[in-house]
Amino acid sequence: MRTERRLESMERFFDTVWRGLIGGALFLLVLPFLSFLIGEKSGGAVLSWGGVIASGLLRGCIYGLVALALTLIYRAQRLVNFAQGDFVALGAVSAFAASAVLAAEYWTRAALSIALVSALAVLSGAFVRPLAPTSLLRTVMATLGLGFLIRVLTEEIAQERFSEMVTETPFLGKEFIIAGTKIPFQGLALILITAGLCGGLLLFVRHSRWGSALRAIGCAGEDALSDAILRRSGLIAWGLAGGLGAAAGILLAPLAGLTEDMSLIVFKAIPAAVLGGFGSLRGALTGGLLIGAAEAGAGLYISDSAERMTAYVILLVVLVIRPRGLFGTSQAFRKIDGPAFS
Amino acid sequence: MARPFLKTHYKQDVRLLVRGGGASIYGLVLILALTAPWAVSANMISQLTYFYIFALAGLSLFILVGMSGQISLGHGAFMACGAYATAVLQGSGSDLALSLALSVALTGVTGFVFGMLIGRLPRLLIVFATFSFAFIILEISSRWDAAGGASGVPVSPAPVFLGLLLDTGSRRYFLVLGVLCTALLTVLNVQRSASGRALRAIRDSKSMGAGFGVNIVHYRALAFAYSAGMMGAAGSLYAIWALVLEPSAFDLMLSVSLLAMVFIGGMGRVHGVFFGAAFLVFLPEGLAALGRSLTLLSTRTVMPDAVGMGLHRAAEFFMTPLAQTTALGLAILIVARYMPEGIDGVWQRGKNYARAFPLSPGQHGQGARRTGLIRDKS
Amino acid sequence: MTKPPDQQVLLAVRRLCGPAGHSVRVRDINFSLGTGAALTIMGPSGAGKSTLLEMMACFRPSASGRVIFRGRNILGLAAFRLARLGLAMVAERPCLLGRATVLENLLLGRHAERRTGLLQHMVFPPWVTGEEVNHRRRVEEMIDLLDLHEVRYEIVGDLPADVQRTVDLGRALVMRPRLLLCDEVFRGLSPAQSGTLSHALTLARRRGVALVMTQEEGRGEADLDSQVVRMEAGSLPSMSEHERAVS
Repeated sequence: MRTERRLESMERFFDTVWRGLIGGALFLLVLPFLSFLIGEKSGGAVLSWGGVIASGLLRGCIYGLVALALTLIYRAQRLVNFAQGDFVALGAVSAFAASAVLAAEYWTRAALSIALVSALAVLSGAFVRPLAPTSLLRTVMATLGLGFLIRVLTEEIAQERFSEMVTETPFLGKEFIIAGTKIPFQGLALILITAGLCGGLLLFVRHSRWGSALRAIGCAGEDALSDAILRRSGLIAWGLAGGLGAAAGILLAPLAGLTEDMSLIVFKAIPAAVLGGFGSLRGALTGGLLIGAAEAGAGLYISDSAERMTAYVILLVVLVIRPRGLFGTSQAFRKIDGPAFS
Repeated sequence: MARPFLKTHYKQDVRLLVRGGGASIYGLVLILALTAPWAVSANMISQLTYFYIFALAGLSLFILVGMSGQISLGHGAFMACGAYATAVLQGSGSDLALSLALSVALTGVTGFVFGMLIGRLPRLLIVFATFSFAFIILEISSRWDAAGGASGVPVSPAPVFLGLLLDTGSRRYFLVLGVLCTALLTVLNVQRSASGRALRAIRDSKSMGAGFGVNIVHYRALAFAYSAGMMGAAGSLYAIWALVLEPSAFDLMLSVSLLAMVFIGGMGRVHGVFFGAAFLVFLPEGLAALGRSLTLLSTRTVMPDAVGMGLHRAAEFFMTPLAQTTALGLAILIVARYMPEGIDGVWQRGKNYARAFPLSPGQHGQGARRTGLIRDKS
Repeated sequence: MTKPPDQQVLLAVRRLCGPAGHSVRVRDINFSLGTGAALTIMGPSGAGKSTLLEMMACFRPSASGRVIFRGRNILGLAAFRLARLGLAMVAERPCLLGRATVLENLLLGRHAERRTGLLQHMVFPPWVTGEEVNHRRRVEEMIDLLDLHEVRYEIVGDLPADVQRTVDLGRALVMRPRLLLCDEVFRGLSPAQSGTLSHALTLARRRGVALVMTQEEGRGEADLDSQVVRMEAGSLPSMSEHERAVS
C-alpha cells in the first residue's frame, strides 16, 4: 500500500517538474518576443536575438498548425497522414496561382483554396478509412501514395512557375506603430490567425459531438463507437486537417516562398507532434512552437546546416529519452487500454 | 520408423528448396542471367546492372520490413553511406573488395547501434526515427567537403576487385550479379533458420515473441544491422555503376521509392523483391512505350479532333517525370487497398488457381501465411 | 525440518501483493516450491488466481513483495529474460503466433536452446542443418506426447481453443522450463485431452519441472499428485506455516 502511494506521489512530482519545465521554456520564448517588441528602444543585441527567435516562433506556428492537423487524423483513426505536407503545398499553390487567373481578393482566394483542399482531404480520408484498422505498413504506404498524387496535382497547377508566383498578402509591407516602435503586421497577423484557428478548433473539439466522439475513441477505443459515427468523425477529421493544412500553406508562402519542397513540412511537423506528445492537441501546438524557436536558435548560434537538422535531432533525442513527449501518455501507441490521450 | 529414414525426412524440410520443382526454373533464370552479356546490348547490360542493384536494395528492405516488421522511411541514408564510403576508399586507390567489405561493415555497425537505440519503441516511432536519421545524414553529406559537398564526387571508373580490373560494363555486371546472388542466398538461409523464426515471431507480435524467450530489442537490432549492411553493399555497387555521386540522389524520394518498390512487389517471399524492382526500374520505359503507342494511335486512326488531341496530350504527359510519380502513387494506392500482398501475392493466387483448376484453390498459399504485415496492426 | 539435499527451493514467493494500481486483488501471498513439486491453487472465480500467476510471470506489475526464482528476485524483469531463466506460463490467452503453423510455434519454443547465431544462419553450414534437425526431433517428440499429429501443419489461429491450449502447453514444455505456471489449463478439455495433458505434466514433473496450477472449483479434477490449497478473495488463508513449504 505504501508503495502504491509512493509511486503515485512520485508520478505527480515528475509531472509537475515536466510542466514546470514547459512553462519555463515558454516563458523564455515569450521573453525574447517581448524584447523584440520593445527592442527598438533598448537597441542592439537584444533586438537581433529576439528578432530571430520571434521569426522562429512564426515558423513554429506553422509547424504547430500542421502538427495539429496530423494529430486530428491520428486521434480519429490512429493513422499518420504523410500526405499532410502535400495538403499544405496544394493550399499555397492553389491560393497564389489563382492570382493570375482569377484576380480575386486575398481572402476569397484563401477561402477557395481551403475549400478545395478540404474537399480533396475528405475524399482521401474516404479512400484510406478502410485501411485504418489494418497494418501500419498499409496506412503509411497509402498516405504516401496519396501524397504523390496530390503533389502531381500541385505541380500541374503550378506549371513549374513556383518562384514566379506572387505571394502578396494584405499584410505585406504594413506596420503597426505602437509607442514609437515598429511591428511588422505580417508576423502579427500570422500569430493572430494561428491563435484564432487553434482557439476555434479547441472550441469545436470541446463543444461538438465530433469532439466527444474523439474523446470517446481516445478513452475506450474504436470498438466503443458505431461504424457510422466512426466514418463521419474520420471524414470530419480529414476535412479539418485539409483545411488547416491549406491555411498553413497560405500563411507559410509569404514567409518562406513557394518551393517544390513545401510538402516536406510534414517531416518537420512530426517531430513537433512527438515532442509535444503524439496524439495530444495542445502538445502539437506547443511542440511546433518549441521546434520553431529551437531551429531559429540553432541557426543563430550554430549554423545554417544545424538549423536544418535541429528538428530531426530533437526528434531522435525525444525518442530515446522520453518517447511520449511532453503531454503525451504511454498508451498513445498501443491498443487502447485506458485514457490514451491527454 | 527407422532412424535413417527420419533423418532424411526432417532434412528435407530444412532444405533450401523444399519442393524440387522450382530448381529447374531458377536454374534457367540463372543461366539466362549469366549469359546475358553475350546476348544483349551494352546499354541493356547497364540497365540490368541497375536492376540488380535495386533488387539488392529491395532485398535489404525485405529483411527489415518483411522479416522483422520494422518500417524504414530512411534507408536511402544507408545507401548513401555505403556509396560515399566506397567512393572515398576507391579514391585512395584501394581494392574494391576491401571498399565493399568496409562499406558493409560501416553501415552494418551503424545499423546495429541505431537498431539498439530505437528497437524498444513502438513501430510507428521507429518509422519517425528512420526518416529523421536519413535527413540528418543527407544534410551532413551535402556539407561534407570530403564527399564533394553538394556537387557530388566522382568515382574512379576502373576499379580493381581482388586484382581483377573491372573496366567494362560486363565485368561490373558479373560483380553485381555475384553480390546479389550471395545476398539472396543468405536471406533464404536465414528464412529457414531459427533466426528467421525468431524474426517472424517479433514481426507478428512483439509480446508473443518475448514469451518465447526472444530478446526483442536485440533481434530488431540484428535485423537492422543485416538490412543496413546489405543496403551499404547496394550503395557501394551503385557508386561503381553510376560513377558520380550526388547527395540529391539519396534523398527522401529514394527511400520512399525503395519502400514502395518492395511493397508493390510483395513482402511475403523474396520473389516480391524482384517483381517490385522490375516495376520500378522499367517503369519509365513502360510509360514511354505507352506514350508512343498512344501517339501512334492518334495519328494512324481516324477519330474526332478532340479525342486525338486528348490522346496526344496524354502521350506527352507520359514522357514527363510527373507521370512516373503518378504511376507510382497509383500503384501504391491500388496495392495498399486492393492487393496488399503485392504483385507476388497476385502471382501466387494465379498459380494456385491454375493448379487447382477446375476445382477452387481452397487454402491460401504459403506466402499469405508468412506475411503477418497485411492484417494486424500493433 | 531439514530438506533432503537434492530438493532445493526453486521458487519462493514472499508477501506478494498486487497488481500495481488502484485495485489490489491479491494480498500477502507466501509459499515456496521445490524442484519437481506441484501446487494446485483452487478457488472460486474472481478470487485472484489468474492475477497471482500473471504477477509471478511478470505479465502484470505487482505492488509489493518478492518472487525469488532460482535465487534471484524476478519481479520487473523483461519477459524474455524470464523465459531464459526457465519460467514458462500457459495462460488463458495462448502465447502463440496465430498466423504460423503448430510446427513453427513449437520450433520457436526451442529458441532458448539455440547454439548458433545469425551470422552462421546466413551461411548455413552443415552443423546448422544438424541443429535444425535436432530441434525438429525434439519438437516431434512433443507432438507425439501431446498427440498433435493431425494438426501439425495447421495454422494455430484456425484451431479450436482446446487444441490451441494443448499447443500452448507444448510450446511451454519444449522450452524446457524449470517452473511451469498453468492457468486453468484443463478448462474445457475432453477427458481424452485432459488425460494427455496430465500425462505430459507428470512426465515433466519427473524431469524436475516444478508446477503451479490454478483450477476453478467444481471443474474437472486433474489426476496429478500435487498439493492443493484454496484461494479466497486474494489470499491463501488455509495455508499453514507448515504447508507453505511445498516439496
